[in-house]
Amino acid sequence: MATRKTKSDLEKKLEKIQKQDGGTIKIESIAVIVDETVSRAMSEVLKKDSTLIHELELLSQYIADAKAEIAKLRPDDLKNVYLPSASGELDAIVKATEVATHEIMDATEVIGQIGDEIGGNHGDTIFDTTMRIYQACGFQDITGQRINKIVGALKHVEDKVDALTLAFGDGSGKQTKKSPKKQTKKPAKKTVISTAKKSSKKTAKKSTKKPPKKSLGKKSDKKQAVADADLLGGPQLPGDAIKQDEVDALLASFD
Amino acid sequence: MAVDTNMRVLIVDDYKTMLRIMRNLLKQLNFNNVDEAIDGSEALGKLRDGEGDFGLIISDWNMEPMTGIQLLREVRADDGLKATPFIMVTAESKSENVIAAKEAGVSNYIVKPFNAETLKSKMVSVLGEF
Repeated sequence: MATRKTKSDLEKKLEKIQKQDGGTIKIESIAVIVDETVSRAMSEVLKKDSTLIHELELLSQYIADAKAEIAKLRPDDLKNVYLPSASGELDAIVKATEVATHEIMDATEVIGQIGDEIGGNHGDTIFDTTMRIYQACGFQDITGQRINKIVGALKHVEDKVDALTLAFGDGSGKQTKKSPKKQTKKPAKKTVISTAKKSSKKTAKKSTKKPPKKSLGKKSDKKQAVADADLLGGPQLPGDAIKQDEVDALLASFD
Repeated sequence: MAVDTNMRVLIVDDYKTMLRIMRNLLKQLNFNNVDEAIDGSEALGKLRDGEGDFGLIISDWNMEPMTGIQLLREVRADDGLKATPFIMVTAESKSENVIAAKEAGVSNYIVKPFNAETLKSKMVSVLGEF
C-alpha cells in the first residue's frame, strides 16, 4: 500500500512540475523529487527498525523477568533441599507401612493358628476374617507403586529445573553450569526406589539391557523391550483402571 | 480328577509383603507347597533347576531385571515348562497389558488389589476344582 501511495504522489508531482515547466522537467526538479523519495523511504525503514528494536526490548525484559522469577523460586533449594526431602518423606512412608503391614500379618498368623485350634463356626469366622486381613494388606504393594510414581514425577521436575537454570541462569547474573553427573544419577538404593517397586522407566531401561535369551514374538528384542516398556505404567487411578470383570471379558474374547 | 493341592506353586513378586500375603492366601486355600522368587530370572532358575515340576506359576508383572511378561515368554518358549499354568497378578490394569499377556500365553490375569475369592476362582479356572 505504502509503495502504491508513493508512486501516486510521485506521478502527481511529476505532472505538476511538467505543467509548471511547460511540458518539460528540469534536472534540479528531478533531484528534489529523488531526495524527497529517498528520505521518505529511509524514514519508513527506520520506523520498521524501531518496531523491531522495541520487540527485542520487550523480549529482553521478558527474559529478565523470567530469570528474576526463577531466582525467586531458588532452584538450588528446590533441587538440593525440597525434592530430596520429599523423596525422603515418601521413603519413610513406604518403610513405615511395610513395617506396619508385617506387624499386622504377624498378628493375623497368630490369630489364624488360634482359629485352627478352635475349629467349628468360630474357627470358620476367624478363617474368613484372617483372609480379609491378608487381602487388605495388599494395599501396601499398591501404595508403594503409587508413591514410586510420585518419586518419578519429582525426578522429572528436578530435570526440568535443571534445564531451566541451565537455559536462564540462576538469577545471580551468571549462567548455571551443567549439573554434574553425580546430581543426575539415579536415586541411591536406600531411597523409596529400594523399598518400593522400581519406576516404570527404570525398569524398562534395565530390562532393555538384559532381554530374555529367547523371544517368542515376531518383534526383535529391541522392539520387544520398547513395547514392554510401554506396558509398564503401574497402578492406574480408579477411573482409568480396568476392573477384574472387564479383564475376564477381554480374556474370554480370545477364546 | 481333583486338583492335588500339594502341587508346587511358584509365586514371583519383588515385594516381600506381597509374597507373604500370597503365601498366606494360598495356605488358606490348602496350597502349602509354595516357593518364592523375587523376579523373573530367579523364577526361571528355580523352574529350570530340575528340583521338581511346578504345577502353577503366579507372577507379578513389574519386576526387574526380568519382568513378569518376559518370564511368561521364557516359560512358553521352553519345551519343559510351556505347559505350566501361569497366572499374572499385577497392578498393570490397562487392556493393552491384558492383551499382551494373553498373546504371550497367560492362563489368567488378576488385577491388584484382589481378594481371596478372585484368586481362588482364577486358580479353579486354570487348574480345575479343588
